[in-house]
Amino acid sequence: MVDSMDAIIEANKRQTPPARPGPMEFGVMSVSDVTKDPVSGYVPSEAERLQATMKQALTAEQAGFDVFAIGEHHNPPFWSSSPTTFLAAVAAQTKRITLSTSTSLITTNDPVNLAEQYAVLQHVAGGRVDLMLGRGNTAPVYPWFGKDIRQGLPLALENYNLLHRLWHEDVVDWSGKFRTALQGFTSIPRPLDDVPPFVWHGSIRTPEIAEQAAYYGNGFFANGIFWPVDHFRRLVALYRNRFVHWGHGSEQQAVVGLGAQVFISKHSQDALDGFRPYFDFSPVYRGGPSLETMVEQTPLMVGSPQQVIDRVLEQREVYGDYARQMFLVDHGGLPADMVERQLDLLGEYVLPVLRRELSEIRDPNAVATPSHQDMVKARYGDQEVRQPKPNENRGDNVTGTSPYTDSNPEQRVELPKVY
Amino acid sequence: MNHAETNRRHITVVSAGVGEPSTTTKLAEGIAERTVVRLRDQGIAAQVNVIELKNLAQDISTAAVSWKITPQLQSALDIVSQSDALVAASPVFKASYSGLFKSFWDIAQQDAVLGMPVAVVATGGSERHALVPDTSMRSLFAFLRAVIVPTGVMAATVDWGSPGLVDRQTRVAGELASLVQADIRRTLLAAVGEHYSSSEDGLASQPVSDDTHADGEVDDVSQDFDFDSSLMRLAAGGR
Repeated sequence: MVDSMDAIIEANKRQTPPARPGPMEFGVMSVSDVTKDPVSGYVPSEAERLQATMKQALTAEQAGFDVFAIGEHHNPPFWSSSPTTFLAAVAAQTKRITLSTSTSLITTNDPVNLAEQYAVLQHVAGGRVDLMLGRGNTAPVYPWFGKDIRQGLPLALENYNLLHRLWHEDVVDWSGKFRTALQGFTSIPRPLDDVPPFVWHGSIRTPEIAEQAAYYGNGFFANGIFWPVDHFRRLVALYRNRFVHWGHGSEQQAVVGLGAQVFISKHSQDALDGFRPYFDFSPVYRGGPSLETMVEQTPLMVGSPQQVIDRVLEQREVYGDYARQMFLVDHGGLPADMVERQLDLLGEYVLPVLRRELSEIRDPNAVATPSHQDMVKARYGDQEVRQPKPNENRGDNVTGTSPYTDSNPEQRVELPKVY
Repeated sequence: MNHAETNRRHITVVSAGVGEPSTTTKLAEGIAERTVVRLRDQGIAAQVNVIELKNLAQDISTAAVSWKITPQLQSALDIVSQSDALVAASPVFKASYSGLFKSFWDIAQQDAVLGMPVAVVATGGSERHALVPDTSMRSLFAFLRAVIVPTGVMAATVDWGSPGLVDRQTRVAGELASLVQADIRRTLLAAVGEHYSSSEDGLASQPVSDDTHADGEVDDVSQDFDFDSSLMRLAAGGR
């Protein structure tokens, strides 16, 4: 046991880390809530909100953001039950921005399905895709998909273990606790250039999720909207520490992402006044501490551009240099035109300043989120990129152990027990 | 604060008393102080911490309806989970412990007092409330999987100044000191710790040590975790 762990660590150490030193990314994330505007009383239709979010994704690219992410929900008042369909449409209308999720459910989705859908999205988007896995916090969703919420954490951990193999191995024999076994299964299409999309593991409290992110050398995203900062500092420190333990590189090479909710105006009092009704009626914040308290103690950033800039730079002091900052902008009934204006303001007054200031103070070893190109380079170096071509269909719709022309025909299927 | 290092035992009073000064707090402090004396007699250094929930009332009500835990409340929760023994005390309101008392424990982590020696103490205006420590408080701390001492203490107005009350305080202090001296929490966790369902919020129940350097870096936070638990092994590829 210990020997095999040591072997894994040694093998990780020999690999080229895909994350290279580079700048911090800024992104916009939405959870797709369809909420009444507490100021006008207007409730947008699902159709309006979906189209408005599509437009916001395009605006985010124009405003200079690096990432746009959409959440996954399966109940009203949300609309985003199929993130890959939505992101594919965004991909078709954008050139540069990375498409991601906030989050994709690793509990209630079958990992086979996730492997397929995100591989297709990755091909469609020319590699401009990564994804963030989360467990979801809506208890009733579990039984809708035939799952047991009491097994939420082990389900998430096991499902990702399988997803990882489906993306890294052409032929998978697998058996686990939560779904039927797989015998000689090939998930199609193989990831773009046979390099899976970069994976973030999102968590607000679970050390096991930090451990899983570290074990695989994946990213770790902490959306610290409520808890005291010390809690998240420890969670991120645990991830960095274990990233080193598993041989993926130094603490600075660990890929950390953070979330925040933001609302800006040129003058800080206008921002507080403008945001207050959305705060006071927010399904998340209402009944809790005041807006001022939350702004002071959590990553709820409401203020002037300079105040928001200072808050982001403060996060860096707490967590160390990190790879990605995501902003929630459209939550809680903010009307679409106001969201558009927020994106423009952030793009004009916040992002350029942050990029300039960070370029001077950021640790030169701090990494950027690995892009598809980075991961292709890390995997192949100067060698030819693998492009899998299927063997002929044998007539049984099952390819067995050698699905592709370059597969090893000697590989045997283990045939785990099917139950 | 890292108790494991200094080896000084911490006996913490959590009191929901509302008066100033509070008889509930006073009763519990009396037990905690006698516990410290008992331990010192055995050569064990110990000290009393007092958490008065009335000073945290707003923080507790805020946390009860949102996820927001203020730094003051968090620091109280940390002191509780890092204690070696607890004297939990509440006035009796409407046939049970007070709502403030219950709200504090609603907010505490599932394993905040797992295996911890706890004395249950109540005060009330009438001796008709005599069973509140045993019927209400004992079940609450049983749910929290604490090790509750055999004697419950209830003081009604008529009990104050009676030698019987002092006797009971002394008896409870002896029970509490014996469990602390036997290192019951550590023994229990070492013996069967892995069989307790782990709370997802295990992070907060971990001892918070002085591991912060001036530059904000944290070193070796991972020593607080058991990477051989079945869930951690599943996280690391299912080995």
